[in-house]
Amino acid sequence: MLKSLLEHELNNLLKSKRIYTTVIMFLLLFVSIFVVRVIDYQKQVNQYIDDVLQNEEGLRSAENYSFINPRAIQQPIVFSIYNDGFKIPRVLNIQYYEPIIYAESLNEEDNIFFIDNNQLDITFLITFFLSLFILLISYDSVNGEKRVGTLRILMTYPLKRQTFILKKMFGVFFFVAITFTIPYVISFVSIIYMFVNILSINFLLSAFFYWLLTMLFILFFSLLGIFISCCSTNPNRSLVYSLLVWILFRIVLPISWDYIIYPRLYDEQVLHLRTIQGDKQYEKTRVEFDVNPHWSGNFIQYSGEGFYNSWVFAFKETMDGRDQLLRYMYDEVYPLTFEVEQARDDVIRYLINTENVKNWVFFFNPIVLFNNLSMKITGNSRGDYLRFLHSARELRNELVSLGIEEGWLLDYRFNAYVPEKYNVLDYDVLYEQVEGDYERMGEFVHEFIGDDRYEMRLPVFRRYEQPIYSFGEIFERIFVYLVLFVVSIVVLWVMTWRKFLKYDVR
Amino acid sequence: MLKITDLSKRYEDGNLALDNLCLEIRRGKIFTLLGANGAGKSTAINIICGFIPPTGGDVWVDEISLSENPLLLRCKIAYLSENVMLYDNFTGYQNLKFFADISKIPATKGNKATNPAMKFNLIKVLRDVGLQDEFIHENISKYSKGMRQKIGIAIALVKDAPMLLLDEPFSGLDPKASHDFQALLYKLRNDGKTILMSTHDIFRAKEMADVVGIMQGGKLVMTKTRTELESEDLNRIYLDYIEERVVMENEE
Repeated sequence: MLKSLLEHELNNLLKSKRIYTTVIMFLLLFVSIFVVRVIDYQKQVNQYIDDVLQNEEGLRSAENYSFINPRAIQQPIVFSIYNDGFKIPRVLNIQYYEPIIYAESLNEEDNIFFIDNNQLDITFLITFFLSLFILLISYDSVNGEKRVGTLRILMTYPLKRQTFILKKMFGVFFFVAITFTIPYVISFVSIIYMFVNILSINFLLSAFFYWLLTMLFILFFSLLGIFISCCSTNPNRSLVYSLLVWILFRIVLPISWDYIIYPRLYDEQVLHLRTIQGDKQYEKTRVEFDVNPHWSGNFIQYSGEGFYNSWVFAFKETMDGRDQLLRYMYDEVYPLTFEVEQARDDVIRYLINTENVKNWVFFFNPIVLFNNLSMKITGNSRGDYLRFLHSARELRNELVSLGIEEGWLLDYRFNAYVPEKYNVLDYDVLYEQVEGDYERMGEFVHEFIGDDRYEMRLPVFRRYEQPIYSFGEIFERIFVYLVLFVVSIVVLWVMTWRKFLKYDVR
Repeated sequence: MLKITDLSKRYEDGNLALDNLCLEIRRGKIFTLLGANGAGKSTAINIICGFIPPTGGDVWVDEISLSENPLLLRCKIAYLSENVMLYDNFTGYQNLKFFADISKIPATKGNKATNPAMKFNLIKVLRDVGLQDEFIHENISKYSKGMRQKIGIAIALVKDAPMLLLDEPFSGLDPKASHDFQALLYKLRNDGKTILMSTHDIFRAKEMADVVGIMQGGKLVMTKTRTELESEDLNRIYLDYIEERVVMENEE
């Protein structure tokens, strides 16, 4: 019987002009946002390729520069099309004991379509438009039938009241689910077609979970609309209620969080943590300053294309203290890097926890849950940023060990250094030789480095690898909140069912 | 057969809409309930249909009790209201098809679930109730009230329920449509259907009913058979009751 009821409900929805118009609007918006986002993603990919090429070129030319600055470069996330997420620059510079705490931009350009705090993506379409769309379909699903009179006839059939609610719920749900799923699947096929290398198990899993989450979202709002429809006998009144609920869920609650609750948490905790982070950083800088007198000083270095301000050599007078310096840095200064990083992580973890608290506080608001969970699924949440930092730090730690082991680590930065025995120049002699002309000094040094007798040794080290989430990890990240989502749907279902049990069908 | 025993309904505001109503209608009979507005006619029908729960008493249709098995009882009744409201986005045929599909009788002990509507040729049923062929696949929104009543009867027919509950079915019908509808009801009665009809129309009640009941203040104050009414003036009797009620209300 449910099948007949469902078919009828879907047919009824399909024949409604109001709904027909809304569906067309939704599809147009979906296509527009998708196209703009794909163009943006293509742009990000091009920028990423430029970044990687530049990095490789830099590493290759380290023979001339002597200074190695490997970078951890995050690939653009294809899911930014669906959820722009937590925006961060993509590049992390890896330098000796420098704390890795902030990402930087390299070749990134601002996209005029997506300025800060204006995340026009499919998630926005779902949370803003689709939620409204569902409420506009379902606000009169019960009282509309009562007003027309068909509800009374239906209730003279061997039809349980919960079956009627199920008919309404699944009718709206399937209708909206199909309306969303068709363009969603087409968009994925298009992405796979356009960006061939993207297809992977992870990609498909993320796509599946995003779809699953959207289905839960649609189910919740379908039920919410039906519940509102049961709360009033007048469809016009329930339309007003629906709009008020939508404004509450989409605008008032998120804004109250962002402007009332979050700033309090932010002021009290995040600023406190940031102060700790700042103190640690200051402490480290002070220690760094203390050891800096061991430097020989900087001068111009010639790279072939131009002159760069860099530290290239340790001079004779400082070489004596080199081993001592290295040991000091490794034992005393390097650990401070971890403390600074730990302090930074505490800030990020606090923000992640705050977002998770938000999920629990607003468990009844699928818009909040959807926003946060979709970021966890698509891989551009704060947690992913933290993981990005950690991966880069792991690589940094490896490089430090390698530098100590192979002896090219001299300064506080990575130097593809000439072997120790050639690494001695007398600054004063050199200074006199070039008569204080730094430009000539650079040329001289370049000739010195370029001399085959003093061949540079570029250490072999691994490149940055982007962390990839396994199925289990993705599931683990979202499982609790998915359960929370399902529980909120069940609670709403029970409320709707009980409301309709007492509903006067006359 | 319909049997109602001590059926009462008191609303939350304290209003006693139905006061120990007892009634029995045999198979193949038309019972007409007459009464002023608020007499309790519609309340009785609403309770039998399961729209509102009674505060006391019970209803049986063919030995099925409303209090014990409300879902199965619904298989035994077909309801037709004053304004037959249907799904305006669908044609007459599609409306009938939908209600035929959901007429399934749920499985009970020893009985499998069946759908009595399956044995009907829906197009033939629509023709039988007098719907012209060109309107069968026409959208309901283009139907007149009489045509909607015909679809309503067709829906009741395919449900194949032994009991028909009609709430002011002649209200607003033109003479031709009323005549056609009356003929249809006679046909149903002759086929063995039991019909309970509420109406304000005394002449129609006298003309059609095998038994006429007058309700007042939630009580069934009088019943007369067709034979008894042959020698009495139903109009006078009805007006006497109404006036008595008015006098009582004024005294109160």
